[in-house]
Amino acid sequence: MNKLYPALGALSVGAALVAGGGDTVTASSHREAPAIAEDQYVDNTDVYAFISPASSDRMVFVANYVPLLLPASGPNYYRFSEDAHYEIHIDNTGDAKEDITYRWEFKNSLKNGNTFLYNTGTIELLNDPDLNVTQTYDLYRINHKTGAKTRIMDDAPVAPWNVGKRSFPSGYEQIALQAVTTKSGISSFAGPRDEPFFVDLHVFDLLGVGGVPTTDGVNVMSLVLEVPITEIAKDGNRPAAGDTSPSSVVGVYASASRPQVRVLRRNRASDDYGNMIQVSRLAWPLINEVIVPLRDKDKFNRSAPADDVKNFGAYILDPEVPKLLNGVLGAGCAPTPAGGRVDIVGLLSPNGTAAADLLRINITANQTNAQSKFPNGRALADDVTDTLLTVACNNGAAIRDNVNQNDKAFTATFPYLASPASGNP
Amino acid sequence: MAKTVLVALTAAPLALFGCDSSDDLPTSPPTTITKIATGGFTSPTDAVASPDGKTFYFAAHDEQNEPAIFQVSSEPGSVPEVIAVGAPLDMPINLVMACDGKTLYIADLGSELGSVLSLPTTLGSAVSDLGATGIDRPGGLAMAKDCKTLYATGRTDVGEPALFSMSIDGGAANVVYKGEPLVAPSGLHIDDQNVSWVMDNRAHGDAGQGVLFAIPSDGSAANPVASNLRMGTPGGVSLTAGGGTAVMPTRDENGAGQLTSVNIATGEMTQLPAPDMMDPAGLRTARKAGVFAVVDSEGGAIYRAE
Repeated sequence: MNKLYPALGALSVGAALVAGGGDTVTASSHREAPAIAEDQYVDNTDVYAFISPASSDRMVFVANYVPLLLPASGPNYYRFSEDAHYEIHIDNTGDAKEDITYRWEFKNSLKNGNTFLYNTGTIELLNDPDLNVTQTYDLYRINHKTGAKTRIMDDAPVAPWNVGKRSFPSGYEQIALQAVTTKSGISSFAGPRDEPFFVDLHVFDLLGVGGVPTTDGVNVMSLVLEVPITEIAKDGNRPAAGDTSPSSVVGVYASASRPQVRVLRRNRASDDYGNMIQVSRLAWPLINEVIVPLRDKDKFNRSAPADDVKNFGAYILDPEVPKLLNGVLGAGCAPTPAGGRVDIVGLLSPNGTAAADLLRINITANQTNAQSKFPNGRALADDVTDTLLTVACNNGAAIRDNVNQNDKAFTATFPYLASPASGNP
Repeated sequence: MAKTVLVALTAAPLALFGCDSSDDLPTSPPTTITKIATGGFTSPTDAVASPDGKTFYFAAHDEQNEPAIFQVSSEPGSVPEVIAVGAPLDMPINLVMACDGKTLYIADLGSELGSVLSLPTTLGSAVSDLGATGIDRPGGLAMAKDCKTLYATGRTDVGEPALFSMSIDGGAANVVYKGEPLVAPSGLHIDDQNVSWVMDNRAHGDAGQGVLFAIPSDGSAANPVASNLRMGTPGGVSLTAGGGTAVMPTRDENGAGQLTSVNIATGEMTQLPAPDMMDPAGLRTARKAGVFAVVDSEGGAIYRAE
């Protein structure tokens, strides 16, 4: 049990012992708000942060975008948006404000515009001349304390879509993994992966779920980054074991931004102008999905975590979820106590950090991959739906869905996510 | 307020500073800011003042969501009046006033490549396309001291961010500077030595994103003057008389509106809080009065600072 989160001690025990008081699940942050549902390529679906299974001195971040992708989605397969900024932000001082940002900027390339084909022949290498449609990216590190912006990677390749067995006769994954780029001790991967979040999306039919793994077989666009912990720690110093100061944890969130002005042209590609405006953000799963109501979901995506208490604190203190569980399923959830759900606020502000929707993870010297379990970071296999519904219900019993693991196994090596489903298996 | 602007004084040629010797411009940064108009329009992008500072002109959308140019008294509570609406206006983004106050020049991002337009300030006048060539997507305009030359930010025909100069009569635009470190230049000011002071929304300087560049008239360099400027779209900048201070509409680290003034010689930075402004953007000075016109693009309002 993680000492940072004593409130979850009961949950962990309860979850292991109790069959749920109802079958209900929800999705993490897929199409969770009206505006972002109309802008799929920058919809941030999940964020993960865990200490590397390969080295306890390194941290892994995963930010997924573009939800619920059908593998057979040709001829224009999914990719990242060229005019967007995709970012992972890190607060290492506990004030809920970003201190370090990693930013991906993508560039599209087309070898042959006289064909409709994504690839004009079989693909045997990542740089195969028959791979017609490709993307590359620049990866930047921005230090908000000093203002320094450093380009870490230049024109790094994006893994291609898993078109099908005819296009990748020698196998897809060995080519996709050629997109793993390592430079100056930092590893990065960008490209399609199997959707790691497991859930029954029938929940949105009046909580009518029955353990159907509705995200099995779909893909997502993933950004995976592995960095030395000293890269993200305050002043570059990893806190000592036992440190309980606010800088003993880092807070993580991901976002995507679009140009403030886009000008559509009748006879050529669109142009843009002005600032980049945040249109999506995510840290904890499910916050904007089921805690923030419809009227404020778009506002959540545009806002900064440091303003969460002011903007959305009331929804945390008196969440809608337990009331729905009682009303629809008779789950017997506890009523909201006087003073509100300060226990949830406590989970969002470990070790004296400012309360905000940030995925916080302990980075002190004694931490290992085994301790990276939500809400101390988030591992790929964490059943966060069970965890959060049980916390929300707050009656001592576990609330479980019946979708308890991903359909594909995660890997022990970078980029850790499973190979994406094939468009023609 | 934390001092987050760095001034690259040592890296920039001395000739860049203290060049705006005109005594027509405001002599000091503004100390007050007052809302003068709201309602009847949305999403204003830029405002300019008549030479005497008594009338403001601004670009926005009217109540039918048509692109329009408005005029309004610079007194609080004034009601704006449309002076031009619809084509050839498409997406007017930046304005500048002729030295005599009789003509507005308009950078318009719309149509296929964007356009530079002109509009006499007398009511009932028509908007004309200057027919400028060699410039795509003009996004910022400023008037040179000779009153015959416009400077513009935009893109070259291959999409490079660039600074141009052109006659007020139109014709070919000449590239003054292009390429890095410019990324997304928008508003600008021209001083007496034809040094261009260019706001760039996405360029990254020593202190962070959002940079004010100084580009000498020979286009030999784009020198970062201040960075980490949370500017609006378009970024606005004007220099006080003597060129001593650059005044820019920005937001603080919590998102509150403000006018930021940077002493060019010392780098000292001061802010005039304007918390009512949601997204302060374009800013211009009156040519012969100590008045600044500023827009709040998100709040849909026009402000007067002095």
